[in-house]
Amino acid sequence: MLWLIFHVGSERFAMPSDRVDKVLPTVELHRMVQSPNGLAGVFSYHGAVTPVIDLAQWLQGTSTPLRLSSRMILVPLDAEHSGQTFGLLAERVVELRPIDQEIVNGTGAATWPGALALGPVIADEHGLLQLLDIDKLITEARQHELLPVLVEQHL
Amino acid sequence: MMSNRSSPFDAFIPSPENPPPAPDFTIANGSDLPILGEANLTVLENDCWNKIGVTGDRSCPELLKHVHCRNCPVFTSAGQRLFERELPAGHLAEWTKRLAEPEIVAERGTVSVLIFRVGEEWLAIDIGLLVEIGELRPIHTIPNRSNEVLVGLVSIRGELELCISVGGLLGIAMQYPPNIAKSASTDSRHGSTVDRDRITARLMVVSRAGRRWVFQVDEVEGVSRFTPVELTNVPSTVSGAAASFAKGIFWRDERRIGYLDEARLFETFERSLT
Repeated sequence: MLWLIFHVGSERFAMPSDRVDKVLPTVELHRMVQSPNGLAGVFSYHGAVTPVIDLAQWLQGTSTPLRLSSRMILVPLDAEHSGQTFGLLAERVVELRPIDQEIVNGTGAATWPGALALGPVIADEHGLLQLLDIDKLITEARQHELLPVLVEQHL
Repeated sequence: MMSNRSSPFDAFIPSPENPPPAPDFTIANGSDLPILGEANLTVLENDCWNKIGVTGDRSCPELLKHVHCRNCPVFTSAGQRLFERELPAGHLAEWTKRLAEPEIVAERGTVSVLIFRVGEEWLAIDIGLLVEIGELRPIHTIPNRSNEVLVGLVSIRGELELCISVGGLLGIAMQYPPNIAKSASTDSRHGSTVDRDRITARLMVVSRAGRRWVFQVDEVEGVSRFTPVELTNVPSTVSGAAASFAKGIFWRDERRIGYLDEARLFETFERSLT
C-alpha cells in the first residue's frame, strides 16, 4: 500500500494514503481564541469550516514553519465518510511511496504504551519512521479537544 | 553594436553594471536537471548530477544502476529540497481564497463543445473531434473534383488535407469565403487587401474515425459546456440545411447555438468526395 511520507520536526512519519482525502497547500487560518495547544485554527474548505491540527505544535511544542513543502493533509473525520474532514499541518509532505505490508505488521515494528502512542516505529532504508494510526490520532485529538464537538454528540 | 543599444528593455538586459537576479535554480541548455546556482547553495549543496552525472562526465557508478540521474534517490531528494523554500508573496492569501470558493461539480452528461461562427450562424461541434485550429492558408482546388462543399486541398504542417466549406454545406453565406489560391506562387499573406490582423476567420482541423478534414470558419469563440437539459430541439420554423445538420440548439450569452450532428456532418463530407 502507498503511504504518505511527511516530517514533524526532524522525525519522519507516514500515514496510509487510503485515509488521506487530499493534500492542500497552507492557507491563512482563522485562529481560535484560547484554543488548546496544537489546534492551528480553522479554514473554509469550499464553505465547510475545517479544523487544522499543527502536528509539530501538538507533538513537539514548536509551530510548523511555513514553507512550500509544509502542507495540510485533509483526513476524513470518520470511516463512514460523513463528509467531515480535518487538516493535519505537517512539514515536507512531498512523497508517496509503498511500504511492505510485512514491515508494517512485522516484528521489527516497535510500539510503546502511553498517551500518544500514535503508531509503531519501523525502520526502512532511509532510517526510522513512525506509522501514524489515524484512528488513534483522532481519539487522542478528541481527548485533547483539538477536534470540534459534533452536533450529534450533544444530543 | 552592443554599446549604442538603446531600448526600453535596457534595464532588464544584464550587463556588468546591471547583473541579472540570481535564480533559485536554472535549467541547463538541453538538460532537465537543476543547476547549482550561488543563490541556492543552502538549498542544493551537492549537485553531483552536474559533476559525475548525466550533465557531468557520467563517471558516477550509480548511473549503471539508475541509467539517468532522474531515477536516482540523491537527485530525488535534491529535487524535494527545492520545496524547502519560503512561501512566495501572496501564496497564503491566494490559496485561502481559492479553497474557500464553492466547489464546482460537473454535472453528469455534460457535453464539451467548441463554438464557432459561420456567417451569421453560431455552431458547435463536440470538442473531441477537434485536432487543431490554425491560421488561414491558401486552398488549392482540385480540377474536376472541387464543388460547393469540397473546396480543395490545404497544407497543414506539410500534410495535404481535404478542405470543406461549411458555408456551402449548410447554405450559409460566409463572411470570409475560403481563400482559393490563384496559382502556386500566390500567397494570401501578401496579396490580400484586408487587414490580416482583423480577420477572425480560422481553419479548423477535425478528425473522426481516422479521417481528417479541414474547414474554414468565420470566427472561433472557444470551448463551452452544456448539460443535456439545455439542449432543445431545432424549432420547426427553422428550415434549410443548417436545421437538418443540428442535433439541437442551446443558448449561450443570448446567442442561439446549433449543436452539429457530427455523424451527419462527416457523412456529407465523405459524400462530397464522390
